[in-house]
Formats: sequence, structure tokens, C-alpha cells
Amino acid sequence: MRPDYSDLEECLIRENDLLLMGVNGGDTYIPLQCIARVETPYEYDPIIEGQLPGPLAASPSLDGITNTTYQTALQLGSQKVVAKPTDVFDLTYYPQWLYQMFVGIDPPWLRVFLQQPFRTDQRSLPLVYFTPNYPQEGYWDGYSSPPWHISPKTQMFVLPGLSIAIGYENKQPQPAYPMLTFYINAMQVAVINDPTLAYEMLTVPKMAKLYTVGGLQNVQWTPEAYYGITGFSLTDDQEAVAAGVTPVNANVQTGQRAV
Amino acid sequence: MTEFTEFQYEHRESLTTLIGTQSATIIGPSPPQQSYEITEVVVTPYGTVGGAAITGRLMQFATLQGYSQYGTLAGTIVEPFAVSPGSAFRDGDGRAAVAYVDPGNILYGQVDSGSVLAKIVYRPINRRGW
Repeated sequence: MRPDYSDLEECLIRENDLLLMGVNGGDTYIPLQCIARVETPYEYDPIIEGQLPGPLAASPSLDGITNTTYQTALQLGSQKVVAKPTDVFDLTYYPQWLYQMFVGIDPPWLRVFLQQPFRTDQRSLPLVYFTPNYPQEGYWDGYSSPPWHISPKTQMFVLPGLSIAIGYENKQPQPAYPMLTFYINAMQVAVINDPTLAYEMLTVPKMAKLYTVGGLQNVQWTPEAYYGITGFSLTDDQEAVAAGVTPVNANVQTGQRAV
Repeated sequence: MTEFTEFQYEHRESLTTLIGTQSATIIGPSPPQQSYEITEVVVTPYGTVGGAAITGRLMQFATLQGYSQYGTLAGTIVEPFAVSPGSAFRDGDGRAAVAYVDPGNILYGQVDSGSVLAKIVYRPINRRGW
């Protein structure tokens, strides 16, 4: 069966797009520009790659919600890649790269939970946060995002130093052998250092695409370590934006061209 | 374009099991939030061609205690069948529902004599009724 990626088309970031990546719960926006990109599927078998020791056991749950088989989020490592990375999506040493990713899930009833960064749960709600005993919130499942028809609702971003971890819930009385099919829009990005352009991105409607990365939590991710700038918030004035895009970390070599 | 939908006849799974004269669990219990949608049943009897027909049935039973709205249907037959050795019973083609196992229920199989081999194509669906 030929996979259908058509749902993702309109969501994909394209060359020359201006991006405002909102991190730390939207406190900090980083202005970037997509310089080049490739799209690639990436199939991740959690059992073969070694993230999981085996299938998720059959659920002993009686109510279908509590006491299901739950695997806390783990980083997506690989024992098959020669270097045996503990996280195949880690971009810490590739600050010019950015992943826009979507995930297809199999089997269909399998629920998948995102942490970003590792140990910070994503997509929970204040009162119905998810726990191993109540894995009700913040999940995607294979019904809504099957591998051959990946849902755009599974969009996630991986920034250098801000990778993901994934947990699982099996609620069927049969074992589950998870398979994740990622569709990755891998980009080279440049940092916008021009204060005028950065301010226009903030103020001119639809000029830049705005994204929240890492959910609503304040994860204390520091953009100056990877992008050399401190970023700005949505309500900043022109002066504050100019300060936010001024390079403060000479060691960072990202941004192949000064924009 | 960006709808968040279920996929109608995909996600199918199949299992093949031996059904004897004692009721035995085939699948389940389904979680209370889900049903099993059976889209194909194929039953093949053991025995010499020309031998006596075997009658049997697939049934669903509730197993959850204190769960009243959806899970207390008692012993509903979801698929009766009669097979003669040499000719298999087949219902459904895997593309449309022929039977459901309600939330919280277990699918059992039983025959009145001998034993049969049953193949069941089904999928769990996130739905309580149908």
C-alpha cells in the first residue's frame, strides 16, 4: 500500500519560510529561516532498535483506563546504528539542523505519549495530567495516525538540545508490538540577526510561521547556547526585539548566512 | 485535508483458533471504551467428508462486574454456524462488519460436537455502540 502523505503537505515548512519558534511556554521566540530541506520517512521499531526490551504485555486492566500496560517515556536510541546513539533525534551538535516531524503509529490501539525534552510530559492538561495510572491525556494513537496516512496533528519539532522521548500504553488484552513511522522534514536553518526583519516577522501578519515547541511548559532551554541569540517574546517592542537578535555567543557558528 | 479520522476497514487483524465443545475464550475482554468489529468468520470442521454436520456458535459474554450500561449482555450469540466436513462456513469478506463484541465482553466459541478450526478477522474500534 502506498503511503499517503497528502495531509502533511500544507503543514510542511518550505524553503525560504520565516519561522518563529516559541520555546519555554512561549516566553521566548527564535527567528529562523529555512534555507534548505529534505523530506524523509524514518521507520523506528522500538523493540528492534532497543528502546523496549520486548512487546508491551497484554493489559490486565478491567476498566480500560487504569492499570493498563504502560511504558514510561524513553529516548529513542538505536542499537543498530553503528554509534549506538541513545537518541537518534539528538541535534545538539548540529545546531543548523531542525526537524519538523510527524509520526504514524501501529498497532492502531496503541497510545503514544510525547516528552520533550526527556522527562517533561507534553500535551497534558492542568487537571488531567497523565500518569502511568491514568494515561488518558496527551496521547496520539494509531487510529488517528496510521503509518500509511500520518496525521498532521502529530506534528512535533526537534531543535538542537530539545529532543523527544516517547512512552506507550497498551489497553488491549493482547500484547502490542509498537512500530513508529516518522515523516521528517529535515531543515537547514539560519538565524535571523536583522532587527528590522525580526520585528516585521513579529508584526506583519502571516509573514512568519509561528510554532510552539516543547509545549506550554517552561523547560529552561537556552537559545543562546545553540543559536547565539536570546530571542524575544511576542509582546516585545522594536528595541527589545533588536536586543533579542543581537549575537551574544560568539562560539556559536550556526546561521550559514547573515540575514 | 487535516481531518482527524478513523479508517474504516483498515487495522484488521486475524486469529485462527480451535473451537471445541467446551466454551473457550477467543478474544477479549475488550476495554470498556472499545468494541471488536468482526468482519470475517471462516469455520472449517474436522472429520471425514460426508460426515455429520457440526453446529456451533460464537458468543459474547460480559465479564465486568458492576458495569451496567454496556457490559452486561448475557451470552449473546453473535455468529451461529453449521458446517459439514469438506465445506467451510464463511461469513463476511473482511470489508464490512458481520458481528460485534460489545465493550467489556469476551468472545467465546463453542460447538455441539467434535471440533472446528475458526478464523476470525476483526479489529478493535473506539466505539461503544454500533
